[in-house]
Amino acid sequence: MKKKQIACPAGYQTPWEKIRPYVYILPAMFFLGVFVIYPLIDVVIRSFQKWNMITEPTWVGWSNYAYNFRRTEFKDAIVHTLTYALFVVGLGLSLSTLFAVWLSKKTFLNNLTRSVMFMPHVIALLSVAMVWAWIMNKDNGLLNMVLNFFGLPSLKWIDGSETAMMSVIIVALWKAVGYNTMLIYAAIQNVPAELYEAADLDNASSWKKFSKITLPMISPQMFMLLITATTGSFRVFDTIRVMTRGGPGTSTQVLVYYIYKQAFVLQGKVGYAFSAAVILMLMIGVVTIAYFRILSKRVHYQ
Amino acid sequence: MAEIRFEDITKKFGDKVILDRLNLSIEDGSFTVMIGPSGCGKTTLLRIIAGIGPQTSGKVFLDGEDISGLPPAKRNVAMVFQNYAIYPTMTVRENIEFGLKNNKVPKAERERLVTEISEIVGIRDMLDRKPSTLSGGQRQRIALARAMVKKPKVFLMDEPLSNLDAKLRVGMRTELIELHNRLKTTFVYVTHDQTEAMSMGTKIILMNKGVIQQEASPRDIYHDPDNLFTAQFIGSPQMNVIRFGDSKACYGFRPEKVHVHNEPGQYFYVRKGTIVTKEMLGSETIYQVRYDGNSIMAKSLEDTLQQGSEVYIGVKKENILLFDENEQRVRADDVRYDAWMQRL
Amino acid sequence: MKPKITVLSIVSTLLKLLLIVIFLFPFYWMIVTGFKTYQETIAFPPSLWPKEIQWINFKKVWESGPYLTYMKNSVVVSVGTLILQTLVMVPASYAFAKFNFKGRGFLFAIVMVAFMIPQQVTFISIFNMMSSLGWLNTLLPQIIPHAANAFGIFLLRQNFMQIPDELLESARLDNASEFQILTKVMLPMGKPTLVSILMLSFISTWNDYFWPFIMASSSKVYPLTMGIAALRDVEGAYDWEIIMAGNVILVVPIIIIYALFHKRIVRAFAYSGIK
Repeated sequence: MKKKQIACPAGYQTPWEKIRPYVYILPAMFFLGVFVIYPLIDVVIRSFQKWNMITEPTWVGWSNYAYNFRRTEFKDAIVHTLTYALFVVGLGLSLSTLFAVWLSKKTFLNNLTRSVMFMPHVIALLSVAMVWAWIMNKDNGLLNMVLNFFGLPSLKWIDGSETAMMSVIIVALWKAVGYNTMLIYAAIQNVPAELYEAADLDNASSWKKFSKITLPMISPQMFMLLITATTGSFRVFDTIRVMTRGGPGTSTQVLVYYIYKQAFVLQGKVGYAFSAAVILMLMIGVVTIAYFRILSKRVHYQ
Repeated sequence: MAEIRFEDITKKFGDKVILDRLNLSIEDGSFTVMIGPSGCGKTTLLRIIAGIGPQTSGKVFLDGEDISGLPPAKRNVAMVFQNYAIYPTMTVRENIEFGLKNNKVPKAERERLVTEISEIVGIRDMLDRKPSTLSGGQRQRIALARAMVKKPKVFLMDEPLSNLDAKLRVGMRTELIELHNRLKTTFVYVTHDQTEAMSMGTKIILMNKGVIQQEASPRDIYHDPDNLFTAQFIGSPQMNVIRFGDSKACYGFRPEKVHVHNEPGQYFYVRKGTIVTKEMLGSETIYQVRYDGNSIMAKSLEDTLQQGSEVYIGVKKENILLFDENEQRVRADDVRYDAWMQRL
Repeated sequence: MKPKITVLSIVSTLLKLLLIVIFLFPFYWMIVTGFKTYQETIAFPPSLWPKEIQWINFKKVWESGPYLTYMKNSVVVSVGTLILQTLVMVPASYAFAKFNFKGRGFLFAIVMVAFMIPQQVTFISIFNMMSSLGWLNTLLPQIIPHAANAFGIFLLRQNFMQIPDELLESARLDNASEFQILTKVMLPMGKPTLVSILMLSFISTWNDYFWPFIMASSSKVYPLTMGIAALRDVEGAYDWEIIMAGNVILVVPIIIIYALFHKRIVRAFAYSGIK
């Protein structure tokens, strides 16, 4: 990248001119410091303390972590989070790429389909979760009626410990797939048409064109999407809270829900919540770094 | 009245020294053109005058007053930028009167000035349009109007014509000359285009690597260059330069001073050679002639000679320029002049 | 050749129509259910249109809690966040884009790190902070912690960097003050980006559930989402016509806005995702 030339005069600065940029960024840095950086440090420190949020905390070393890792509930929460992320990201991005390519021509029907698919993204996750909870209702839900209509047996959906996770994943896909499709579609639109014309002259098949031109050209956007989708699915909470409350049993209890429960539902266990939050942060960090390590070499930057 | 004087100006970008203790005066009322290859420091100098890229050390004087520490707005200068720097979100009128408004010029006076200036540059009927709807030439005029309306002591122009197409450029050149004649203020004009420099400047300052090579009228800079760099930078095709044997000293002559004939004529410098290429330009023809391992260009009004034919070239004595091993000019009053001429 | 292509394109068109149904129908179902009687919601086969429009469902929702307060809270929180974010974001983006100062790289790196840290990690600490400030019964915990929009600062800085320096230099020569440069030159040019950022911010604040769920301790400070969620939390939570009616109140304004401005909204989201 070209080095940016700076408009601000370099010499003859009055004292005000010298501190001016710092004054401009001060509010932003203050709020980020107080509400992002400080809480993060606080979380890490508190994760090594035993504290009931009232009396003085005591230092307990790694025991909060040890406690968490001894519990099946916590390990399950990690497994649930990872399962959820795997399906929502893997299936979600594959479907989105497929839709984006399939709907890439600018026809009326394609534009309409893309716009309609995108709509769930601007709707509150809360409402999405609620309407799907109704559709997936085991007694009177529409989905079971449709299954019965085709002669299939009813499913318990969010009320069955086998099907609950799948149900939550379906809702997450329904909510996110249109947004991802739109982003990938926008990226595809930026691929120069001459590349495809050149490929046509070289007698390339559709698959070749997709794998050798489209995919490499949109890889930077796909890479960013992969990171945001993965870290986003590690943070899932709303659907779980509204649809299943982590249940039945703990079958859909994900990490954020576990943290919330330790901190606010079960009194006096806030140290466990803090250490679980640190684990969540580590998971996000590790995945992001791993993506960069493994994939960034394959990303084609122009 | 606006004479600009630079005193020991040094400019550094980080560790890189762009200008090193430069001294220079720009005459009041002149149309001074600063020219040189990119990175020579000409734009840097212009930005120092404007105060938008101040010097690292040294002083700038405007009419004898030290303006080194003044903010840009207090210097009474106006600048036309290469990309015009038109505010895209304002109308043409708002663009022109932005500076006036900031200087608290009363509304009636503003109206009068905007009308007057827009009339002069010919954009009066576009005042309420947005710049995005205008062509490059029209935007150029807005930039000019915006500069003129402030009635500055000095006009600074940074390659203002380089974004226009060739035809428009020629027209704007004439208009700028007329503008200068009308306003009689100091113009400082930066360009890398020698045609612009030669056609518009009353004074040309040729720079290279932060050093002033020559400061002279267009005529002198062309016909009487101080050094080899100047001689070769100005003129197209370039001046023919031939070394004296193995030494670094050399002599040169301009292509249009070379006469090409079938017969050797009465010239001081005569050589026999072969026409290697022939380039017809319409009104004139450029021949490339090879002789004694040298290859020179000759510009001729005749186009009768054929490629491959043997010809004689001739140059008059007064059209031959000599340069010493330090690339400095050896003029007729130099003690070495006669001896070197004899060697030809 | 020809018939085969036609068959393929018919299948393709049908699948697209199916997609539209899959993505549109739940909204339709939400609205339709909201107008049914309880008996009709559980009837088999389900009816695609209510036998009789039940406005009373909305009245029940309205009477189930202080909905006017919820709405007011939602508006105050969304608009307040918007204004605060603008005031914080604009000068910071300007400084990061157009000024050279010591520590700029490091300070901007902090902004980017902040962007990577989710609230789901830090919420307990922020909750404790709000609690010790005694703010829990106010709307402040829903506004103040979101004052600095790290992603917005990043996007607006990118946009400001595209503005040529000559424009600022020209303005300085025109004797414009720094405040005028910001308001007359930078902001008009950054407006489309700023509007996009604020639109995204508004939608996400309006729709947010997690944050008020943690921070709002009483119905006095509940936003609309919390009020709607409460419909399901009360006993006998299976009056789906009531729950759906509540969601209609939350969702329909957004659906109308989306139908009107979907091009602009999509561009805002797509732009922020691509960088």
